[in-house]
Amino acid sequence: MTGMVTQGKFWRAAGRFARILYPPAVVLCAWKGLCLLGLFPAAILVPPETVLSTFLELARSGEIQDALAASARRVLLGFAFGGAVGLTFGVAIGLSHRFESYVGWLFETVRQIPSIAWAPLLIMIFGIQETFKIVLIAKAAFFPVALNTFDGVRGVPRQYREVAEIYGFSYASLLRRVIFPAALPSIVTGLRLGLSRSWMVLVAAELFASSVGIGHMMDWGRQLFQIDIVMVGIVVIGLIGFALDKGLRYGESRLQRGRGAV
Amino acid sequence: MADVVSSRPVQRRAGSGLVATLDRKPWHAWNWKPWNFRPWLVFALLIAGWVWASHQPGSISLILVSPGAVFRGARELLWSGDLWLNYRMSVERVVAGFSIGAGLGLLLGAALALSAWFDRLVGPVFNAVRQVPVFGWVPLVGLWFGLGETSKAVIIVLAALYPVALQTYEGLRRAPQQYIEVAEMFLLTRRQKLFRVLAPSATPLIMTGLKQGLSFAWMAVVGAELFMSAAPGIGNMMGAARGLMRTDVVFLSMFVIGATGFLMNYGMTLIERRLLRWRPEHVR
Repeated sequence: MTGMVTQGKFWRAAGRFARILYPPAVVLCAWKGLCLLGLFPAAILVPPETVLSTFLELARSGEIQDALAASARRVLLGFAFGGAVGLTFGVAIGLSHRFESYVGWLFETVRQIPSIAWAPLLIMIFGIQETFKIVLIAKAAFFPVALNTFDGVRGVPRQYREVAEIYGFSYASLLRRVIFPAALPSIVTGLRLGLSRSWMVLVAAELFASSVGIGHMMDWGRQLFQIDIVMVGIVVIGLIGFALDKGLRYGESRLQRGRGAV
Repeated sequence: MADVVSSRPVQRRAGSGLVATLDRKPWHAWNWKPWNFRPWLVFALLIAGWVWASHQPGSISLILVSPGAVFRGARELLWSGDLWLNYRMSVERVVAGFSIGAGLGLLLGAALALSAWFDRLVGPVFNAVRQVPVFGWVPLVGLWFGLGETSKAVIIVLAALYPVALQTYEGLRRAPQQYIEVAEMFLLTRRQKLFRVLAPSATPLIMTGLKQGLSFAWMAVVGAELFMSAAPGIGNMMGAARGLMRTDVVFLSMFVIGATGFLMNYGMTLIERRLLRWRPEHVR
């Protein structure tokens, strides 16, 4: 009896493991299979094992660590800055209809211009160094965060506010104990979207010009005709983007489940 | 009260994610009235600040040219036909790229949703490729196809394809179980089930995907023109103007890009309303 239970547990764990491992296995097989078909020369479609060895080489020389450190610094600074401003702005226009009527149109107008179209102007203003990249990333993070925060704060049901009024809450505790918890899921969604936008824009910003960074490493690989380096870059940015998104989604679902239990 | 509470999570689901960022606008809540002085006040202050800054001595006035100069630059570009030439090329790229990308996305999404085998074999590859930001493909695509028109097309098609495929998949997958049961009760064939039941019920999400796809494709056009070789295009015009320190042209390009994006989104919304007329008022 106990043996069967352990067996069930084992098989369930194995099943979970297989479910996690299955997608990357399919991707690797498809990649390798395409290489083996021989439709493209190996210099054009680099097989996975070459990409792995190039990755290890770049890691041994510390190149990829330097690139990732520079890129991570940019994303974190830009996201922290843009996210903080977006949060503040979103709460402000969400709470105050008057403030919204002053600047809502401006927010909406500026939002129509995609981040990438800001790059030339920002380069003219800040030069092509770090500042421009961080500002561009901050801009990309600002809009989803501000918009979702606005949605969350505006979406708090009026009944909640009325109950708080009956209990005689002060404005500060209304914010802290009613509006903020009610708006939290939406805010977290905004932060997640903001972070993935930041990551997306980082790659674009580094392609413009930089001396270090993951996007620069790829562009450099392109100029030297080293497709393996470019593909290492693609795999790395894909994996990091995936990890960021999965991590924040996990946090988001934990948060919502916690609320459901209450 | 119980009703309100229970309906919350559903609303969240529908309004979360990209859908929320692209579809919901503060402007819906903000009922625009021309006699409302507040927006005009901010607008006037902005213009005044701009004029003031452009008359300051020093480097800021080099970058922040006066509104009058932007206007003159815009007139010059319009008369010479430069703006029109560049704009037309960009619009052609977005139309072609979006058509191909959305078509492929619809097919891919439908195939993934309808065939379990296809989903198991191609789904992981699609999801893996999707993780890479669109512009991350620029160096690789540049090596494969050169930095010409083909590469631009690949980037634009990719940008349009992801959201369309994803939302088509979601839409077909999320068809309510009751609908499927009714379809089975009426002994509909596979094809009838797809076109009479699944496709209509997926239309709202597919339209969302098409909207996202079009705005991503437009962004990709601008990016591809900035990153790749110098062929006419609004992004290229903007990049060249940056090199020449022609802020007026950069401002004008940004305005044109923003306005075009807005109009395309508005057009898609009109199409969406027309296609979804059959839905009852409360879910629209």
